[in-house]
Amino acid sequence: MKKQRYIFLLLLLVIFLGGCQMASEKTKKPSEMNPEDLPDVRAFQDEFTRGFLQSTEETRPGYYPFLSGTGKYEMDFPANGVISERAYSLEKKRFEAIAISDKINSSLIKVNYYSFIDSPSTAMRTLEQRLNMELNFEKKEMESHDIYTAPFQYDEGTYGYVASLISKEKNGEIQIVYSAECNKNKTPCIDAKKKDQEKMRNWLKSINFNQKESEG
Amino acid sequence: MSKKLATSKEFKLRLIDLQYRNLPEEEMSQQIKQVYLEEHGKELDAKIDVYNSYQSSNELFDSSGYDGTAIHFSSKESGVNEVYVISQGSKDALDWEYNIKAMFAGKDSSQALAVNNFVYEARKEFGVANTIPTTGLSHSLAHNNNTTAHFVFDTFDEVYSVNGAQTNYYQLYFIDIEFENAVKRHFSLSLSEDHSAIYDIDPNQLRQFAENHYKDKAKNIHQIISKDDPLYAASAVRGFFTLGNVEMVDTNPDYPGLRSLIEDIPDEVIKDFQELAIQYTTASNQGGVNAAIEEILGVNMDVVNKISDNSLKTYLTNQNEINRMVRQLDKKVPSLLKQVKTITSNSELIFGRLVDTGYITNAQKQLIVKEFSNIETELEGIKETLSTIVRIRDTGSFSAQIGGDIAAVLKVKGHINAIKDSLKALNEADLLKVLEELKASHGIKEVLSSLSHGKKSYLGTDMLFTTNHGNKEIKVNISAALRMYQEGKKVLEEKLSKIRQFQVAIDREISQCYDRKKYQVMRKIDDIEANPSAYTRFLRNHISFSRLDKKVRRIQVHEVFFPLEYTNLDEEIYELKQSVQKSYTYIENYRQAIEDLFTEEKEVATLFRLVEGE
Repeated sequence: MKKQRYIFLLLLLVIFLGGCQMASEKTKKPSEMNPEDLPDVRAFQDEFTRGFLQSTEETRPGYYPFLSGTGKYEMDFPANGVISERAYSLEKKRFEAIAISDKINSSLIKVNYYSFIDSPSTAMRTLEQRLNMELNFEKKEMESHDIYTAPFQYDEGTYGYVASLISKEKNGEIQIVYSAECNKNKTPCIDAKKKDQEKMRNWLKSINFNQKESEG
Repeated sequence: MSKKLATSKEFKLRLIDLQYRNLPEEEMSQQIKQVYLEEHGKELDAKIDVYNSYQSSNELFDSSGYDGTAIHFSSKESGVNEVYVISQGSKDALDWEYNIKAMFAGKDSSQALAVNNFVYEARKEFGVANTIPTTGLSHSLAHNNNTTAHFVFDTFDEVYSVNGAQTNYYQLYFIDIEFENAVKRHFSLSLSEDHSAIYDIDPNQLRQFAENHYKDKAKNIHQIISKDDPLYAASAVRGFFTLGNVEMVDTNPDYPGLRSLIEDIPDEVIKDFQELAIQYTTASNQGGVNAAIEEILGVNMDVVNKISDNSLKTYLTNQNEINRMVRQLDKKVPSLLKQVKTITSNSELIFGRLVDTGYITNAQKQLIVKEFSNIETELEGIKETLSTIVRIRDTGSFSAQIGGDIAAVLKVKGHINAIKDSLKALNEADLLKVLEELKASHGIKEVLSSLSHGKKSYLGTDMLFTTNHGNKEIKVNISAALRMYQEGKKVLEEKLSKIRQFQVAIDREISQCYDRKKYQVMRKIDDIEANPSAYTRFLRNHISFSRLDKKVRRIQVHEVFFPLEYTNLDEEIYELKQSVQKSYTYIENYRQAIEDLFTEEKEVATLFRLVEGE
């Protein structure tokens, strides 16, 4: 019977493909993996966030490799972070906005990518205007980009840091606003801020413009 | 201290309209002067410099689709020193793509950023300080950009707009960190909550809070809005708030406008629509309309088209794709169905009201309702088919699964094609007329003509004056009259100068030719007199003699040069000059006739005098 032959062929195919899939399990992206095999952290539990993560191998303790939707930059992604799908925005290769909230540390990181900003003065002015306050920026030179950072403080325990990473090769700007709340009942604010600043500085170093990224 | 020009709202509206015409710098300045003169009855006493965003090398303007023109008015005498920045409204597909995204999804503020950057760049170009008074002018989408820039970046001192896409507080939340922080504090949103928790706040409370937050800057916003503008209706959707001093005008008395219709639709329905829009725009920005359809339906039309009658073959060769499609449909269809159901279950409210208000006919309504309910049925069909696949798979029989899958895939193909047909039928329904009416109500011209008062009215963007003679009303297009007078005179001046050139050419060419010829003759005479023997042959013409018999010893030429005759074209020149004179008289008579019509209104005579210039 013709039908049986097809079924036989299909069975062969299934076995063959199945074998292949098993072999490639390790090189699979987290988004293609079985949710049960993923690390038990919030970043991987959330389906939308998972889509940005490149591997289940940590880059350093508590962080996983992240590739932006534009493909324009990579960074370490905090294991407790979740990207809000409804607050996400992507405009081709020109603009991308992600908001990473971290329930455990009660913090929010907003990362905006602008392909068209290459002037530090424009970038710093934009940040000052978005926060509506004067900021004291500090410059740090990296290999392929410059980092400008400044702390800020709103009343009632909301504080944070802004950063602007400007590519030296005209690959655009990454604008970061990190905000955190300090719960006076837990740790003294000054200590929390100090610890956060250190963490933020280290994390900023993980962000890199993607030079290899191809157009289209 | 910089002084500002006092300009009327009509001047500002016509300026916004001028910007759409993309005139070269020189002509733009000229037109601005003309419009100023017409609207204010006096000459613009300031130097004009123009700078366009397309002159910039900044990639931002191109990539975000921002199009703007900055105008610098300056005068040492009067102290006027200020900048107007006209941001252009939606023009092309890129703008409308952004429109939908910014308006309904409310996340991207690239164009507001573009406005701000452009204003800084223009000030640099004009060599003026950043403190210079700067006024933003806008129509359509540009109002959203200008007000957002005004709130977040302090770009303007004042914003004047006509039929603007309103400001969106969700959009502001995502760009204005100070506002975001204030919202979080007021509504007790912790940082640990999802950043999009703002969508769950009661829209009314959020709007009131936003209005209060921006109230000081809103005082410097001035808007004219047509009740018939579809954007005004769309602004009833959650997320938008109308700020500033608003003048409402009824530009199309035949229709009541759509605002009350949108207001009557429950927020839940609008919310469904908004979510569909967010999904649609996010996807379309990633890969165009096809990607959007794929995102919403979860279906790649390429895969659907591959499904042929030889379904087993299709199934075997495209199994992964088909599996993916089925999974996607399973994920997407339930929520899409809910959204479509929202539309169909409110179809009487939405489409019935459109019939009542005369926007669509009853037949069109029936067609729309029918096609939407068809789409709903097809989606139901897909949902049902998918649940059978799951049921069959649950039986654990492999061959049953394949058979079931193939049958299901064929069914799904039928449903999808039926949805496509419905969408096609909707596109073909003759809804063009109502769209044209709505488009006109969104335009600047309809607003201008509704601003007519007293003797002044508008035809397009031309200014008309009305006068009564006896019981007859006469309308005169003053803009056209001034143009004709001014340009007519310019043409006649050119003609006169050409005639003068002609005259000079005649004098030069003819007399010079005469002199040249006379000189040649003189030279010949000299030669004849100097070498008489060489001309012996002339004697031989009259008498015959042997070679050495006779000799010419001397020749004396008695020359007489007559002056040039019949060479002057004075008469013709006179005729030509007369024709210019006649035209001048004609134009002057025309001016006189118009002035006579408006003897009581001195400003018409003043306008002509000022246009005349000298």
